[in-house]
Amino acid sequence: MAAIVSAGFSRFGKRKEGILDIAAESALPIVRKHRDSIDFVLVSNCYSGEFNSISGLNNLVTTYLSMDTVPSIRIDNTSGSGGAALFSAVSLVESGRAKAVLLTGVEKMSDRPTKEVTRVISSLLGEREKAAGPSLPSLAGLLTRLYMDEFGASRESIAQVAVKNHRNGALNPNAQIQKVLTLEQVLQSTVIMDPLRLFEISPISDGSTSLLVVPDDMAESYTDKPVYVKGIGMSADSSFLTDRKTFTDIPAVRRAGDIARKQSGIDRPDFAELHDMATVLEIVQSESLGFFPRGEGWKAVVDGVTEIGGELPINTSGGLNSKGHPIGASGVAQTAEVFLQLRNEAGQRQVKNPSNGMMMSMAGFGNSATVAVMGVEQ
Amino acid sequence: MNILKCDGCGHEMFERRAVCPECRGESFSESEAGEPQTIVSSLLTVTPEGFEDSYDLAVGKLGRTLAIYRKAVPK
Ligand SMILES: [Zn+2]
Repeated sequence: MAAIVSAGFSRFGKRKEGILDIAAESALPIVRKHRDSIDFVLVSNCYSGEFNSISGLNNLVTTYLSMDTVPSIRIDNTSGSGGAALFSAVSLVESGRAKAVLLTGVEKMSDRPTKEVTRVISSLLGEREKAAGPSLPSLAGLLTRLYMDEFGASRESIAQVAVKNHRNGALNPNAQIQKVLTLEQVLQSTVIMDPLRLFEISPISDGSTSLLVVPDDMAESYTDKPVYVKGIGMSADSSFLTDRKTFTDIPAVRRAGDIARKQSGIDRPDFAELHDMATVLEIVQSESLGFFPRGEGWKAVVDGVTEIGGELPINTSGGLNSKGHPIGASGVAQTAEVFLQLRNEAGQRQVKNPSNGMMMSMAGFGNSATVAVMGVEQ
Repeated sequence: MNILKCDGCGHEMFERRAVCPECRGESFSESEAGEPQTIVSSLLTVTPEGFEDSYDLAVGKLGRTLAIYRKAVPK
């Protein structure tokens, strides 16, 4: 299949630099070393048109890095762009069409007012759904109510995800929010969509992350610690929420997970990075991916199963919730966290000797999902 | 509130499609389905540009499909 042999990072948060400089910050450490090998560039980004008035971002990025003749494509699959871009990078090297793909995920969102950002992000919904004025976090608010009603989950168990993820984020030097929060602080923060609170929703972020993806049989010529993509699946569901049969399960996540698990032969990963745009989503996704029985993910959070020292750590990076959510960069950053953990390079948030890990990158409210299982052995 | 009904199989939808997801029919009629019955609703206080600053957002049953709508908040 494919292997990841290098990763580059920018700090997430409100950045004063423009989008090209933010992209270069994570790409340059890879480009300086491997410029002559890189024969394809994928740029994962959703909103350079809307937020930065830039079209053809991929070509501008390659030129800015003085790789003017290297072909490139910009990949937009809303908040699931990073997963879709990883899927594309793996496909490019697997097919033999590329031998070294630089994958850069980048977004610059913080220049715009919150109401504008909220409108642009909700533009992925159907026309009539959009006319009702939902935001993506508002859908998570409704899901929180439905999940608590259906499974008897406590309000505290949902908020505990934010406590855990902020604790993890405080250990990640690239995270946007590096602040440990108590359960009380989470539950007393500003209401965004009742019952969801400010600290339970990912912030508006700028940032980038880059990876170098190569064919697995060439991996060891780049590094003595490659991370192999052992399985990758992509699935989709209706963009129209009003067509969904249930909200407390995410079929696209479930199906993508089934493909990745089957391909990799790994049923239960040692740890996972999930798409916690809102706290409740981490719990629902952990069930859709089969980590816990349906309706029991919240108990795993309460019991500490998903903590760094737990049986199945989730979002050791701080997740979107604390690390930040520069939309096009998120799926790439999730993959990069798996890369660091598998190389034992995650510093204070290191999981003990993992041999495999999973990332799940989700678009919209589950209209598309990519799941990848990675491991230290081919 | 209106819904769209497939002329081929009667499948009901809130959002317009070019093709019926059930029978692949391509012809639809619009009809009045009354008021939706709320399944879940909540007060949204950070709203998209172009909307007032807070309102109750709801998902409800409308005919044999679902609808997303704003509920009037009593003053
Ligand atoms: Zn039909």
